[in-house]
Amino acid sequence: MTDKTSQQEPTRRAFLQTSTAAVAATGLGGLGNFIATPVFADGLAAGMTGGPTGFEGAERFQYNGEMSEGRAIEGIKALQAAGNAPQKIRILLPEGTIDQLKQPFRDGATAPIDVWTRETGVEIEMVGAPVADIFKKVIQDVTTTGGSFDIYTGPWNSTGDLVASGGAYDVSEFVEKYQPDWGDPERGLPTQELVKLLYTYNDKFYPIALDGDFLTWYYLKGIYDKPEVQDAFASEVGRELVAPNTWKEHDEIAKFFTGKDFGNGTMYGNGILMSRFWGLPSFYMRLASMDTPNHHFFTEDGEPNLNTDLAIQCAEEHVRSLEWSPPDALSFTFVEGWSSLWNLQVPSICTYTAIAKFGDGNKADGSKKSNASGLMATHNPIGRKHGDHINRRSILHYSISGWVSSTSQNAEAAYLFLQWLSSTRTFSLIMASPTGYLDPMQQANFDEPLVASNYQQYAMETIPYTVARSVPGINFGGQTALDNALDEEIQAALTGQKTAKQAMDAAQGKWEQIIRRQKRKGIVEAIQASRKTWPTIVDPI
Amino acid sequence: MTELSSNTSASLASNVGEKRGYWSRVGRDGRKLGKWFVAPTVALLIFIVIFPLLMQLYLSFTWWTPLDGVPWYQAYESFNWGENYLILAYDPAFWAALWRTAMIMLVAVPAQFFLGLGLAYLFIDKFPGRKVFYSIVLTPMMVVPAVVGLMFFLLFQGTGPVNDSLGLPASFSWLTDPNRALISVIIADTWQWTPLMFLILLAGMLGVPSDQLLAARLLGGSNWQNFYKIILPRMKSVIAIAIVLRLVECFKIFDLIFIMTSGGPGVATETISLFLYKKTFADLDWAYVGAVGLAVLIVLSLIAAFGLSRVAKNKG
Repeated sequence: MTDKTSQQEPTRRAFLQTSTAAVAATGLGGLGNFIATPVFADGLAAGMTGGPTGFEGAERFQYNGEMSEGRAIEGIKALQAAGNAPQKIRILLPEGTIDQLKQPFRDGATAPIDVWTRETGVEIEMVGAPVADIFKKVIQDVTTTGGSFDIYTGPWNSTGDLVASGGAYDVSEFVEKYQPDWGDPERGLPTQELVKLLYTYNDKFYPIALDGDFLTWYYLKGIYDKPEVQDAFASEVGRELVAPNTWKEHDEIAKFFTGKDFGNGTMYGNGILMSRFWGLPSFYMRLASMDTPNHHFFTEDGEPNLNTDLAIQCAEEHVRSLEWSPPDALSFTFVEGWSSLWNLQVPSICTYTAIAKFGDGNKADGSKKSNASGLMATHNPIGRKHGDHINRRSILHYSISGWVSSTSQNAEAAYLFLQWLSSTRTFSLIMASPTGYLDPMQQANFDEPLVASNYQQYAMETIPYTVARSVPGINFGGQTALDNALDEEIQAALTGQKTAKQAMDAAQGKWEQIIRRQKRKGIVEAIQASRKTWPTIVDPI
Repeated sequence: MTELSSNTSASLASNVGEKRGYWSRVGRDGRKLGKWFVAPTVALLIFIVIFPLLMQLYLSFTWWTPLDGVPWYQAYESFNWGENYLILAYDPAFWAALWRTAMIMLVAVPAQFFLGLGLAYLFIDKFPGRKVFYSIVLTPMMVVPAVVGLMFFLLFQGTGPVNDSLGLPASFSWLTDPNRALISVIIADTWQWTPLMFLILLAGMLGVPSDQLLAARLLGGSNWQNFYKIILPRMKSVIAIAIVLRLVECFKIFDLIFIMTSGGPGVATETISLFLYKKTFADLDWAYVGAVGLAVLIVLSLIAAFGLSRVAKNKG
């Protein structure tokens, strides 16, 4: 799973020595297919055999045959030598991610996909689909045995559904053979639990993580720090206004900000998403922290855990928090949620980390990306006090993953492409792109200055801290039915059609029914496997 | 002469007989040939109409979902003796969706009818700028429903133009309040489809013979009497067609609601189409969807049959 040898870090001097050749290589990139090896190899740092060239720091993304990306490239070359490599690999991708792979992150740099094509000669055909519809397209292809794609991508949560449908290829043998660096403690994910969470299903390798949707807290530190805000909070709540550690503190702050105007218009204190689909993870992460170390969504026996006293209390708190939300919060997607923070309408939000990429800092012309530019910061996930500790919890939700299609005639080549794409050097290069919504999750991403310049330095420690404290959303067969059933009931409670207790009782009933129907498909085993990936970290108060 | 004529007659008769035989053969063969000509079309129709229906019927008697990992034609492995229909009969979510759909139909279609009728009456006589107004009135119908959904989604935001112009606070929520969300959807649907009603009814009104109207006027008939006693009775068939058309379309309403509320808040605006969509793509419960789909087809067929029988009765 990790690099077999220690990484050979090229020095800056070594890079400068080869920079002239790198420039030449970039200019001749179009001729890559004819004179591939000599031209681009000149742009590589000493000891490296592949990777991007043509920009300062390119050596940090380069690799050789001892590294995960290099093994993938050599694997493809071996397939080519044996006459088993395809000319083209077809991948279904969310439209908003294509530029992140296809466009160089800056002028002169090499686009990730171009690096692959240049080194292997295997063309990558990317077919875009709207992110909300992508899994429908996957299921259509699977059920019609269309075989249109070698690789599917879609939400990590859909892994169970895809595996159950027989649409995903078990790539365990390839993982064993090519040793990706996903679990490298220095560069990849810090724990084997996280590797299991993101790359396996029922202890077999199916999904390959291309995204890190661990919901992270962002807040308007610039507004928190204003003296008039501090004074008002102190006189109203009786303590200093700081980033919250618990849901109780969060709700106090939400109540405080609601209806107040600190020079930017009326604010609403609760920025977390409350709407159908987008608001569901908000509820899940609140629910996960109700007990210590976790309030699981299912018992060890696979029974739903939704109508416990704690779950009902959680639903009541969640419903109450709507009164501090913007008026149309129940129809917000993540876009409106982001806009609320960017327009200083809400003081905080727990969301995808690309919010900082698109809303903080300055544009190329020097103007601010949003009204929140320069005011934003992150804080640790919030939880609940249990005795002398807090169980801070966030959630992994959506997070785009890749799966090799079970109908692909080129499963090994498709896997090798995914390994190359998701390995820590290439993935860091993808994260350097100012476009797209594939987000970082590997340690190497957070150590990379170009990634920090996109996602903001202040988030580089918070995100991995959040990752380590995130529970998985539901990802086993029947996931969409389970999520929808709970979602509907929570929305019914939020709109006053049901009490929190009625909603949770009804959700419990629906989940029991779904579980009963899914039992013969191994859902209980999947629940048990999922429970093992939950974090147990708790923090001192 | 007589002999000649009798010979000629016989010959003529024989010719006619031969010709009749020829044409009869041609007719017979032609009909055969015609059958061969239309056979591909009939086969295609069977394939695109009958086959999916049979497939749906077949699946509806099983528990099959795409998550089973077996192709649909092996769905018989989970045959359930019609249990989906039993579930459907007791599924509160289905009946609630059907009720909401009926609510939209019962409010939106009459609203569209009366508005369309009023507008059509205004457009019978010529007036300056009639063509321009005509185009303006028809415009909403030309807009893609998804765009209409987006327009009304923006209009009905708490901080949107509707609340602004009515002087309502931002907290007065249209799309996130269960009752007002349904009203918003009905308003949007009425805005878009009144023009279609107007167009059909105007065509019906213009088809009323002008001499009858003129005669009625000369005999002292008021406008109301003319409308009620002459125009309306002669438009019965057109009205029935317009209403059936809109009822069926309204029953299938999807894109507008999908964009405006996605069926929410909760399930407050979840119609049959959205219910089916959710069951198909979210729950992946395709066998159950087959059962619901057939039930919906029967309902729509009954509506259409009722409407068309009214038309036939009027013509009779």
